[in-house]
Amino acid sequence: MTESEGVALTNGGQKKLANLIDLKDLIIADAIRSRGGGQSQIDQLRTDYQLLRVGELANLASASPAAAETSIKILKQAKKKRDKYGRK
Amino acid sequence: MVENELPIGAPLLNILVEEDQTFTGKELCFERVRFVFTTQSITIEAISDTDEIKILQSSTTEGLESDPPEWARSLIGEKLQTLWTCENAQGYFDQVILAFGQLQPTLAFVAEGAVLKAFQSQPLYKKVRSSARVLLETSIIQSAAEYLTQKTPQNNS
Repeated sequence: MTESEGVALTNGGQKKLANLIDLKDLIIADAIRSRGGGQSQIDQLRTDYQLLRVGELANLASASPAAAETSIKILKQAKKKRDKYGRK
Repeated sequence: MVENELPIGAPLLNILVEEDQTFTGKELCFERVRFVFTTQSITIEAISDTDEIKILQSSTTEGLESDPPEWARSLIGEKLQTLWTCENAQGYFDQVILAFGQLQPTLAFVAEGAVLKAFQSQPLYKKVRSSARVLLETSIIQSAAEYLTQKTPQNNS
């Protein structure tokens, strides 16, 4: 894989990311910030995952490490729901 | 017709699961789980875009002929006592807890990684020393006391 090709997602990785596939090549911390998350969401990540790309974590998450799956969930829920969708 | 009332007090007749096929780890992951009661079914499924949970009620009670998964067998026939729907600190509804038999958590489902993960709940108990352990400890203390009695000079004068 070259840098220009980006992360090649497995089938499982694609499923984990759902509608966030466009973020697959971003570093997870940057992706969280881009979705409105703050430092506390980044601090939740396992330290050695903080510099991995979203796609790499999604591929890991589809194989087994629970911490990788948690990272993707933190990304999906980076912004508080009421700020993202408004109060209902 | 879809009922809005949850089947509280109704016995669980079956649990049908649709397992996720893409996850290669050991953990059981579900696309959806359906609880069949006498007059309706409750289906829970993960919303993949937000890792939240959707609850669907249906008047269908199909699926009684299938065998429940092994982990669910002890729950068949137990009455649904309640269902908690939980919102996390970020405001996302991503956990459902069901109580069967007693008004205590039995099964919890959390949405993560576009699937549902299941957790069994059980109470914590006070630490109680087993009678076998008490006997063993007593025996060790007695043996030590006897040994020390033999080794200790009886008369220091």
